Amino acid sequence: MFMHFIKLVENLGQWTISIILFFTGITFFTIKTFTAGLFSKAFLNPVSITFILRQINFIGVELIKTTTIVALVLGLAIVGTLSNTLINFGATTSIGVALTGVLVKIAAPFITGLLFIFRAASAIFIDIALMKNNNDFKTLKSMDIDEYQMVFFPRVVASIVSMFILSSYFILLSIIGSFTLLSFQLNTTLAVVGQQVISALQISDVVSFIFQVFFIGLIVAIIPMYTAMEQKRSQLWIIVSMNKSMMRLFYMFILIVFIGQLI
Amino acid sequence: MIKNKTITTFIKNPHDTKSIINDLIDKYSWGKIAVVSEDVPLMSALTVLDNIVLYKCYAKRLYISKVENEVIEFLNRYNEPNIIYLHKGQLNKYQQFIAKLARATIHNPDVIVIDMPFDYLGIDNFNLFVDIIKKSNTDLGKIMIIENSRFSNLYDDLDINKVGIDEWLIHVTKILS
Repeated sequence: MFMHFIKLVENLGQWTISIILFFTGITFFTIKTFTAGLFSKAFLNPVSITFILRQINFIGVELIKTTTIVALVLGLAIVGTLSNTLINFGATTSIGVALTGVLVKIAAPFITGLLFIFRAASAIFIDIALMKNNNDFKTLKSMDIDEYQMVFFPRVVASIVSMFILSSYFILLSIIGSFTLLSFQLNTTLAVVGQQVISALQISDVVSFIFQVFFIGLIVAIIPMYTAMEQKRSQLWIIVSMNKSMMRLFYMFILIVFIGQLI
Repeated sequence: MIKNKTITTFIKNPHDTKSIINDLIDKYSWGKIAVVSEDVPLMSALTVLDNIVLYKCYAKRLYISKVENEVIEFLNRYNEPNIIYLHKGQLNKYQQFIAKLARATIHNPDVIVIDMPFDYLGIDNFNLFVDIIKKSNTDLGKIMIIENSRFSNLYDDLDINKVGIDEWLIHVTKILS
């Protein structure tokens, strides 16, 4: 019994230390990435800008089709169900407030974030892990090119920008689609419903949205890159580290969405 | 006399080249000394064009499209214009070598070091390398080769200066200082 207790304490201690090490490591990695990207003499280097635009195309643009479909289907489903419930309870005046809150604060960051994790995080991880495995960083080092500036920073910027654009696009599509539906149900015009939504929008909703979108965009790039750089140079480790990266990302994602709801 | 000729050294232990090349890279910038070596790979996520112009565009703050024509011209000279938008995984050994050579020459460094070309190219492509070296005195600037001593006879017909490793390093230092 006592030995089991000691083992439990040991495991708990090990787990705590690994969490602390992870957060310390990821914080330093993020600071180093932003410092290299924003404050080096090569800031706004044409090569760096080109890589940022390519990454936005690679991560974000290719997700537009999926986001469109998901926004229309899920957006309509969420808004349709919610509005029907509110109409049944006779709370038609609260529709704007309820829907705005649900869409801006929860649905858009959460659903786009999930899509983004599936599409971008795995791609970024494989990209960096293969670069490490192929010794590509040696090439950059030989040329005295900072990997934080040329490899990591463009991916972080592209991830945050793409996440912001896709989430906003999700909201726009959901609002247009669902309120077209609502305008029929409530026998009112789209303009009137739109007005109701805009007036229902609160600063806390916007802050929560920006907080979630920024940090989800950040972790989707940072965690896979950090985990890929941590791994040893071996193909087997790519698979092991990818699982690790996705689990870390998932927990951080839940944490960010949770904090976002508290705002 | 030596100035316009390719200088070649033959070493018995090929493992030594790694430290020689690494020392040179650490000591001098890529702008002065560019290396064609298996140890400095093409970046797998980038196209051949990106790989070739990466240093030049980074150092001189140029957009990649501005130097694309230069790359096309270089690749045309070696009959490999089609590789420009390919990735490393799609290239054979010779095409990788040409891409690395272009990467090393495009920004006009003082010295181009070619590390173990025979190991890299193999017997099938070595004749093509010999053609490159024959043209190199006018085409590429100062080329310094490190080769495994087992293959020294393959260089017999070439108009090059063969020197010991110490002298070879002295030449490199002289050119770069």
